[in-house]
Amino acid sequence: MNKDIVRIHNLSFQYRPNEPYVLTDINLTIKEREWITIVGHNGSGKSSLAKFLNALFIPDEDGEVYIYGLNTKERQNQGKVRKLVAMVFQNPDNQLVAPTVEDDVAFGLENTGVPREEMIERVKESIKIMGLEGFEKQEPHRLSGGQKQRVAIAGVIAMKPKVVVLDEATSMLDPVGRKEVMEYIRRVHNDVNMTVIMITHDLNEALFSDRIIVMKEGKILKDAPPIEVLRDEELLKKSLLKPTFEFEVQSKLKEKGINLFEISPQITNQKELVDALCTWKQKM
Amino acid sequence: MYMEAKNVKFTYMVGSPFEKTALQNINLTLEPNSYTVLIGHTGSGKSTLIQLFNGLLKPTDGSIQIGNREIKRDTKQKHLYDVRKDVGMVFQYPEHQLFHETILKDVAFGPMNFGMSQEEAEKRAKESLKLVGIEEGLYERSPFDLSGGQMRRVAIAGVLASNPKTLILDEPTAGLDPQGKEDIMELFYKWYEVSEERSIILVTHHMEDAAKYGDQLIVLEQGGIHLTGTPKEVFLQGDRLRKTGLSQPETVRLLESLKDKSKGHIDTLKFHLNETVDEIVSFLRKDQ
Repeated sequence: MNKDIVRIHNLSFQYRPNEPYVLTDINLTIKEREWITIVGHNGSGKSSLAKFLNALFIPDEDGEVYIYGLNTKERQNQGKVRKLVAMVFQNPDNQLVAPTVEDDVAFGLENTGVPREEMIERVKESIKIMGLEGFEKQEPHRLSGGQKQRVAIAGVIAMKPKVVVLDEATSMLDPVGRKEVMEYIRRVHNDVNMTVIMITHDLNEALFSDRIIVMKEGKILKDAPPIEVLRDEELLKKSLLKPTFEFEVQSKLKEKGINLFEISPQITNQKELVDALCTWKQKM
Repeated sequence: MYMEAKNVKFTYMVGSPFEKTALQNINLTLEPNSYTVLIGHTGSGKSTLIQLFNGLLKPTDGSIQIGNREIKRDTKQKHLYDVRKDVGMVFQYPEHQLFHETILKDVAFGPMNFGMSQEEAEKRAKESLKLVGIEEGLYERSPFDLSGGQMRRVAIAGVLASNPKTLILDEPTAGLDPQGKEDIMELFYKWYEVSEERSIILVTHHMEDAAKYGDQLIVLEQGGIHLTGTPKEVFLQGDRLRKTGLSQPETVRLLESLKDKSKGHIDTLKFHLNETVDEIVSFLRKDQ
């Protein structure tokens, strides 16, 4: 069993006194190497929660956040926590700073004083993982949105954090860019063994994760594997989330007396849905 | 409002080493009261085309007709000003353009800028704010106190307040949650339906929205028109779309894949969830 790397106890948070709470009584544990997706509508508190994970926000009286056992309230821990947990944000244009792709990937390393030899090695490795070979000397602003986000992620993994938090990192991209970035996030999770925490409102992007955490009005409504969340129509409606297309089709079919669940309990993509429909047809 | 592009060519930075032709041989007709959807990859020329239709750019060659005005390469700048009154543009992430101290003043800025009195402009602003669903209690608040979704609505109200005849929407729902997306798209449709004078040009990557709202689809590719027609005509041509890296709506993709695998008789051109499910049910229950 992997160890707990994030532990959040009774966390509540408001931006200013006398304002409504954006987070209320959050309890959450994340294990090493997990892939977690936090979903919720705009204003549900998911991005605020993310900012507690790398000590950008610190709990005041209400609650505690431990990252790898380090309490983020203690000043001397905050630097360490930020090294352990890296963040990738929504807008690629706000995250890229250097004139070339390789300089950008190296930026964080330069700032933390990594020796040159090691820096070159780590930049090369990150560029390879993110499939950016051949782009080293390119200017970041000439890249597509998907490529820019891959550069941002390369810069993050070059720092060798244990956890990477992606705060709506695909929401400004076109469908091609989204798919591309998702593919590379899977690589970061599977090949580099990082813990991935993704924040999104697109349930299609949550399908690969181990658990989905559904948030609404600052509270966790559900914490369960994707298939359980996707099947909970009541919950999705309540949390203003749109079920994936494949699930919408399945539940409409069920209303009409065609229960594909009997054929296959795990239909998440188009191919599986088509296969199940063909099996259903043959059985008739 | 009638709009037309005649043999339009547009080149950026003519005569410099960075010269680049973004559009070529563009011939298009947008009928009054039409809902046109522009689709195409990043870099296909969509943004250039909408800026031509709003008088922000002038064609390098050919002409653009907007209502009864014509824009050519030598059209004077002050004539473009009138065009912009008739053609409202909602840019991507329009909330980035909010700037005034109160919501009401921000929304009234457009009409005042076009020469309306403050009183009249505020009246218009209030109407627009009502249309986009911003409560009166918020009018005197700063637009920066609002949530992202509300800020977007205020920015949209700012464009509607100038009472354009044609509205150009550049990815108006980017970054919103699913419910917010649907609400905004419905809001534009409601605006469009009110009067026969009104038209919409929508730029989107969502094939589902293109199919649902558009009566004419224009697919751009490398600065030229790749495909054009009704949603049914365009989405029938899956192979040609895929060649440019675009796809069909998910309903069509599902039905085509089911048809391929089962070899059954399936009408694949369904754009709504319910009709798609009905088609599947009739396929499943048919003896073949």
